[in-house]
Amino acid sequence: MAWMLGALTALALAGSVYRVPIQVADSLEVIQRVIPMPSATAAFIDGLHNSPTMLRPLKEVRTRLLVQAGEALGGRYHLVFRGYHAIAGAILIALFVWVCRARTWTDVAALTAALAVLTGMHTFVGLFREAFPTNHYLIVAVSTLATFALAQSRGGWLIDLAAIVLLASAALSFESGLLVWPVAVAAYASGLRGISKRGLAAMTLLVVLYAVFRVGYLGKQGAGVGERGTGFGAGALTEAEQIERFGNRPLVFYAYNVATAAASVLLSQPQVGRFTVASAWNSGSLPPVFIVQIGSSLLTSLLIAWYAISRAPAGTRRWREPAMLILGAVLAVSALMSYAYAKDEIISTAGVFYAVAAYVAIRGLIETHRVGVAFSPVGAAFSPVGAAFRRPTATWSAVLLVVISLTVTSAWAIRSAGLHFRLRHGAFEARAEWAYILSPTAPQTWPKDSHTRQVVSRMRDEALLHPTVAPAMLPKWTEQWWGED
Amino acid sequence: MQRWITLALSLGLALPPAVVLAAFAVSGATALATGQPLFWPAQPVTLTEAIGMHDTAEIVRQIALGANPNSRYDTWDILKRYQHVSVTPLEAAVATRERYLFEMLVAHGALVTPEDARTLHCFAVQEHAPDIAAYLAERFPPPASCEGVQMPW
Repeated sequence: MAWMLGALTALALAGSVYRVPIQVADSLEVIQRVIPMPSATAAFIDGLHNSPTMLRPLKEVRTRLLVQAGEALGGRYHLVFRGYHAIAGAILIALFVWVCRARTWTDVAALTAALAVLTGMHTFVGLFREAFPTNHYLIVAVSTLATFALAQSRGGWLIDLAAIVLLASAALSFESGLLVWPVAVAAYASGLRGISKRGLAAMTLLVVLYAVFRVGYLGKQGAGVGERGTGFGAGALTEAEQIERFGNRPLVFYAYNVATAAASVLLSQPQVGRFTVASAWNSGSLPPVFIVQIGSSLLTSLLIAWYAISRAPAGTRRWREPAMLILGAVLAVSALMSYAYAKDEIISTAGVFYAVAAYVAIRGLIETHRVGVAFSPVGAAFSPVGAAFRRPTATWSAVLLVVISLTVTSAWAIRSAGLHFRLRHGAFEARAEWAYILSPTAPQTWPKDSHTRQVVSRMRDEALLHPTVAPAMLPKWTEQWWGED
Repeated sequence: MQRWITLALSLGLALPPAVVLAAFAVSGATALATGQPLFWPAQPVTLTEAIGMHDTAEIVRQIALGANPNSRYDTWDILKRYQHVSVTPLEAAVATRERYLFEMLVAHGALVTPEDARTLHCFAVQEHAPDIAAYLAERFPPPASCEGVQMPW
């Protein structure tokens, strides 16, 4: 049943993701760069040196391989690029189901709710709405979940090797790929031994080598104040405004970004560093999207907090359990990675592990109620729902609990539907960008190389020939419930 | 009693997401099979409706597939709320007040003759589209008067 739920989620996701055309921004430039390259190795080497701040050689390699696959299929680039994205999404869902390990019917109920949390998180959209031309945030999310799955396994040298390969490939795809390492460390600290101490040591060595290679050998720089525009308070700061306000005291700015990135995962506010709820309130209207998002996140975070500070029947502290420790580690590191500017995608992996923690907490909620066990008084004080548990026979408390559960998961279900709404918006925008490519009035902007021009022309045709719904055609209420784009 | 509470709690937790999940799974499967999802599929629109919705990709697609950028097209409830109008693509671009749409149409074959320019200029003034009025003024002398000019509305 759990796998059937996973399959349905993957199907729903694939249907919407596949409709999004290959995008132009942050994507076509990479595609055009790798086409004339003689080999994947050349693409890898180019990826080592083509930016003073970024080290993403596997992005170039992956792009080149996908272009070649598209050519091999007779110019079906949409099928290859968008199919790759949809399949990567299906793998993410499969890994999520795998690490949740639903065994009973009540586990399946918890998993259903957790899948809505996963797909309803505002950070989840970023894994699918854009691609560069492959979405490296999604690669990181998949790699970290796979690492968790490896840590849950029985172990062995092959598992260690797989974990090392995952770390290397994720880190060379995107800087956030280093998140694989804290996941492995936290999993080990929580008692999982699938990845051995030796494997962990090798991964640690790899992280050190990466840092030395990146900074010492390649001389890549980190981001600083004014790197790119970001949200601040109820508004946003341009690059120049950041330098003007925080150029002399960058730590204040960094602290704001780190704190708000973590809060964004737990409370759905601020988003991209900006308290959008405050600006909506100031403008005199508070659309239901804010109540749905903040309400569902707040109650779910409270549930996770209750679970984390309660004790298992064996008396052990539950915050030491794998899902809780890993969420803490990923959230902390992701927030630190957001120090220079806020971006939902940077915290998207934390959003995935938030959903895993939600699953564990929901399962704990059902289990606690089912067996009527006593739990931490601190936890009970933390949640009025928890207090009701201590009188498991009280019908009113049970009814209240069911109503609250129904309300919260309804909110997550609404948010989950919003994923598809946002992907429709993404599809429209990605398709619109192609209208300006190979413009008849600007032949000077066309690719010089005929082969590249042929590939771009084919991609353009594929994007333009598949109509998408225009946001103006969507009912007005959709923006009220899922937010303006 | 305890069993019923557990059942009710499990159902309360699982039912809303399961309903949404099933609905979008069917929609996703339909999208993969037929090219359009059940929820929010693409709607057929005329060229001027695409212009009204700033749908640049659809504009380019329709012209590439043979739509005449100088003909009149029906437009429902987009340029004028709850009204049906029949306009040319350039008039629709004026109604959106977006110069980039106007320029895109010209780039894809829409013709601006001196006679059209007078009408479009007057229409741009009426619709508060100064960017497009300026575009036209750069190429044609602005009309001294808009008296007698037949406007789309």
